[in-house]
Amino acid sequence: MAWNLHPHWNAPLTPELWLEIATYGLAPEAAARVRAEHLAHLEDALAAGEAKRDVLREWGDPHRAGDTFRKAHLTTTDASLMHPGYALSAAGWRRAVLEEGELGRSGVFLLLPMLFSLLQALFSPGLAVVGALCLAFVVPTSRWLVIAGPQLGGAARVVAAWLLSGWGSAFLLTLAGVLWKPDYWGATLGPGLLLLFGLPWLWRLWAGLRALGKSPIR
Amino acid sequence: MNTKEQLRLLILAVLDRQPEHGYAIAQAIKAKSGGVLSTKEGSLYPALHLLEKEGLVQSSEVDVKGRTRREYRLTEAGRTALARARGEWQTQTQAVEAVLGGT
Repeated sequence: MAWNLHPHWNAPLTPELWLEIATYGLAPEAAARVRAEHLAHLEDALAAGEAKRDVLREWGDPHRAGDTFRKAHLTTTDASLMHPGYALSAAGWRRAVLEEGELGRSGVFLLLPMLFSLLQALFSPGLAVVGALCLAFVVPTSRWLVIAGPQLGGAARVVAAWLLSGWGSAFLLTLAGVLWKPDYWGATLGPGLLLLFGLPWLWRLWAGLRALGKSPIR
Repeated sequence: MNTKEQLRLLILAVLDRQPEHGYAIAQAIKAKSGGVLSTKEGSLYPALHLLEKEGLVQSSEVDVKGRTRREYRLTEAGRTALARARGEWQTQTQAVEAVLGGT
């Protein structure tokens, strides 16, 4: 129910703004379907002599509607967690290394020296270089090969992308560091970092598998 | 049965008669209930999309008088769910009537 804060502010939203809010975060196909259905509904209602204002009032709160649409349809986050897959090509490999949402395009070059500095504090310089390169190149390359080679799809692709993700690498690397030199991390920093990387990592698997159950757009 | 469950029951009952598109479903609920019930608060399409996700209804785009509309129809699972929900509704209303009749 809309709040009646001021009489002049109580006018219903325009159809465009209502749809913009209600479809926020939905994958493009789902957003297009919701838009088409609501605009068709509005067209039918106007043709039947109903007032636009009344129809928009019946649509209600776009945020509530959007919450339910996001349960029923794929969101942009779901789509990225389900992973689009890679082609077995140079462009596919580049996409894997510079994956959006992992280290990011510029992130690779910013985080690599930072990662090296962190690892150097824990391990020998040689191990630090290997660790940093693993995270930046070997893990994404493995992900690209595992997904693109057998052309994985469905749950197998979600699990492979999750297992060989930046979050997973960060968690496993931190776990290795905590186990390797527990005194360096202390009683709170080590477990804290493990939770920081581990919880989002586990959430990404759960959310990716849940997204597979959402109905595809027909 | 809460408001959301009631709306789901109403939608399934309308679609049990024949496949309909969203606006026609809203109109059927309003007309059949003599204007007492309506699909307010923008709940019709979210409910329809969830019913489709659960496999209780199916939808496809059809041409209605030169306009493209998404038409919903009941699935077998939807018919089963409708029969179960009807039974629950009748049990609840009979129970309420029994209490009200006793006052």
